Amino acid sequence: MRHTAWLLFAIVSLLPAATRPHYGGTLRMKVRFASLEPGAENNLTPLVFDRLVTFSDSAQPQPALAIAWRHDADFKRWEFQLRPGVKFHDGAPLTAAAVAAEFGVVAAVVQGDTLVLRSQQPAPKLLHILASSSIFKRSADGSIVGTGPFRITSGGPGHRIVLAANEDYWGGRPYLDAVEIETGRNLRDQALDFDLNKADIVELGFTEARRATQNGKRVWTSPPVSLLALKFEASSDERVREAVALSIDRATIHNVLLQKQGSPAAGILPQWLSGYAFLFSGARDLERARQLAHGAAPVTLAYDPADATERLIAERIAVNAREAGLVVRPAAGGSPVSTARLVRNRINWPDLGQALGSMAPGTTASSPEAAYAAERALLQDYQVVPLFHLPAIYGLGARVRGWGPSRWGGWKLEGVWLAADAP
Amino acid sequence: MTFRSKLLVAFAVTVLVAVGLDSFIVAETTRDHFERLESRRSSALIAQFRREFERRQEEVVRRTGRMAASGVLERIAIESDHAPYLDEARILAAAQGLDLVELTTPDGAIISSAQWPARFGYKDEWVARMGSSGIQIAMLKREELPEEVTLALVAVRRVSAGEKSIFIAGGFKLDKDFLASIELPEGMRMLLYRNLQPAFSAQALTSASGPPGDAEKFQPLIERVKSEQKESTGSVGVESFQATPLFGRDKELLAIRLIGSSRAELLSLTRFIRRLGLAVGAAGVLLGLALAWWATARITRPVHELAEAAGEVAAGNWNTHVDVQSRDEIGELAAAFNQMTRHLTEQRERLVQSERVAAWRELARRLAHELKNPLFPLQITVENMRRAHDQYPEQFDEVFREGSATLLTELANLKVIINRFSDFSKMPPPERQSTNLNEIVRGVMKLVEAQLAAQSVEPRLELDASLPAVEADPAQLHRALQNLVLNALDAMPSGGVLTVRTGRSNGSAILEISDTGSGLTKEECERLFTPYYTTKQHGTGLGLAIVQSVVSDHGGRISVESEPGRGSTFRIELQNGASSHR
Repeated sequence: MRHTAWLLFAIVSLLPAATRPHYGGTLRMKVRFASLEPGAENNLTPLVFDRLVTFSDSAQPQPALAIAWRHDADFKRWEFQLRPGVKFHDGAPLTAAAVAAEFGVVAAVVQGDTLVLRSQQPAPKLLHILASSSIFKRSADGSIVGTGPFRITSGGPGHRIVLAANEDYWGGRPYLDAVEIETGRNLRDQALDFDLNKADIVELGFTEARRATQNGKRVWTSPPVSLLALKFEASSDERVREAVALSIDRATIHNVLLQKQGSPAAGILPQWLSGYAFLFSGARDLERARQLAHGAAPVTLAYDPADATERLIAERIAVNAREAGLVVRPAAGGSPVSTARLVRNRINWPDLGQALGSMAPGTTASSPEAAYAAERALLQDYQVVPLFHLPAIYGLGARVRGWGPSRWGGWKLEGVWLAADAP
Repeated sequence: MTFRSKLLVAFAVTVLVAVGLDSFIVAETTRDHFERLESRRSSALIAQFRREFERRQEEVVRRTGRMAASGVLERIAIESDHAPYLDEARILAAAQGLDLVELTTPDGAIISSAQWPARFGYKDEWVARMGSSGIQIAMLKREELPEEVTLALVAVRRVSAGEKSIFIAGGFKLDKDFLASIELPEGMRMLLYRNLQPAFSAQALTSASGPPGDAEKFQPLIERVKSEQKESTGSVGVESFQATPLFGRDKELLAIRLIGSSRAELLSLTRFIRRLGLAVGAAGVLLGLALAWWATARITRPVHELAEAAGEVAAGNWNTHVDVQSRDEIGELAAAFNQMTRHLTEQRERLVQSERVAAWRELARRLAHELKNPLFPLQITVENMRRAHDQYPEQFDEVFREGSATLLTELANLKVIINRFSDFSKMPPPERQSTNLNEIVRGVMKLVEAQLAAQSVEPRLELDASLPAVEADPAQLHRALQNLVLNALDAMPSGGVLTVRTGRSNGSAILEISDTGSGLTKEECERLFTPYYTTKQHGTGLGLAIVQSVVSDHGGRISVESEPGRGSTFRIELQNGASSHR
């Protein structure tokens, strides 16, 4: 056994340096949009700001800045024990008092290193709230600083954000020295940058992802983590809404425009998350759509002009609707007179009820049955017509190593490193 | 209208017609010439368009062939999953500079469409039919786009890889850019009507600069071509258009090409010619009028002189001479006129002389007749007196007394006769004063009352009480009326009815004396007012002459109506008031 262990050690030692994690290097990323606001829900804020707790891919709470917590029987009093030795990016220590100062609406009490949160009403889902709440403080110069693995070195106006490694990160210094993020790049330009090796990580559209794969590039695809849906104005005619919903040929769009990525959606939550999505029918019924469309007024369908796939989907919906005798006019941007718009919502929660709540604010569900009933109620008047559950797709440069995002595409750049001798 | 005016009008009309006709012929000839030129220019342009169209067709075929031969499409043909090639048509269109590129399966299902990317999977049967037919030329196609239906020039090629094949269709849109690429001579323009819907649509008409503002004006011409399915021409504003139908693969009318040629230059020239014609015409007319004025003056002057001379003759001045020296018909007419007046003057002098002799003879006869009647008793009386003196002295005194009385009576008669002649010769001018005709009538009728009764003549007075007074000499009127009444009584020796009327007619006072006597013949009526003419055994023939003289001196008129056996009516018309003054 001992001999075997030495033998393995010798083999590992002989592996090229490129296969072993090492420190240094600047990661170049291109994205369409990103925000450093602590409250923003995107992939960038967790790089700079920690939470008290996080949730694992299996929806289990994980310690973060809080290493332990407990609550009373009626969930009105919560105690969080903070991780010791954590420092903000400006060098200030993380204290319960500093954290409590950021919880304005919740009664927060500091007891040594323990943060006590009290509420008048039971708060059984407090961990979910805290898992989406960045911990930060305002420094003496007015800037916002966090405790995350990276600190902001340049993030002013413009399309370039530069993050540097937090040497004192409580989880250990990231491998990367810095991360340069260029925002405002559309998918086509990102694909071009990726082809020209001007970026290490880019977002890819469905067509670009196929092309990149064909060209031997590395592509990472998440499970379907966002919902593309049609959302009608409440004042619109329900018959027209139903006619449009029934006229859409989801399968063809999925095959061609989405290059078979993601899945056609009839429900709000994807099958892998809810388990009941198959109960909703997204089948096309052109005959019924024609009956409903008789005498219908034209529909204006707004889409995100920066997303070429969305534009094509909107145009395809117009072509499908035309078959049913409906006039649907795609319109770039949020037209004030639009009857409907294409919306894309990201599913950030592994928890069913929480995920449904994030997709349809105000909706709660404590069980799969309740979630199904709530979803059914949401869909019955066709104000929301689910179209597709879409994955997040990233192109990874050849030198990128250790890319291990969360299940829904959340970046975890503290584990990423760059191979020095990558081609 | 005078003869001169008529002549002037005739001249003017002749000049006007001549000048107008000349201007019309010149304008029409010029217009015809320019329109032939215009037609030739249009024909040249149409030929140019055809060449350009054919060149575009060849270009479409060439570029489509280039795409088909690129090798990319063979790979797509082999693939069973065409989803990855959704963007291929757009890339090919951009590379070849084509507006339209479509890849389809052999049954027409769209694999990729540059012009309508979202239409993948739907069928384009036109492409399938064209591709299957093997037609290599570019043809007109009705092309549906997301926002519109347009017209395109499209060629289709088949790309085969083994047993598998696909079609590629490439083309240009026939829109304003296509029209703008065709060079046209100045003053000409080309429009294209895309006949893509049954009813006329102004938006379907486009020119090189976009839809024309006056598209509606083209509707009649376009409708005509649509119904007749053949070339037609028409005018729109100042442009003339030749409209040619363009057909698709299945002989359907897909477009109408309109080549317009501005007629502004032609119209401007025509207007200039017309204005020039009018100016020349006006000048010609004015000159013609001036010449006509001069000519008519020359022509009509002798005629005018002749007319004036004729007027003089009509007025009684027979001794009129026309001084015309021309040797034409007018000169001959003037000479004849002068000869005529000379003859008339001579005849009148002869007539006057003979009438004078006749009058003297008549006078002498009347005098002899009038004087002979009293002279005979005088002679008898004197012879009786002499015989009594010589043979019967004792009876002489008695005879002398009776004889002297008779002598005195006859001498008085002679004196009366002489006085009458004297009076007629010395008729004084009327002394006018406001005179009531009715009063005069009543006065005269009173004087003859006894005579009327003696002759059993019934008097009837029909007097207009509202008759206004006339300016007249009452004594002369009295005498004239008395003469007429006495004449009437003479005409009714066995009694009858004497009617005297007064009244008004056309502003004149009327006095009528009617009898129921024997009446007069026509000849008697004509001579009735001649002096010394009488129908009576013992008349002097001066009564009616005196009446006519009185009436004439008052500016009046006397007439007679009579028929034998039906009596006579004398009618005197006197003008009322001051107007009766002569």
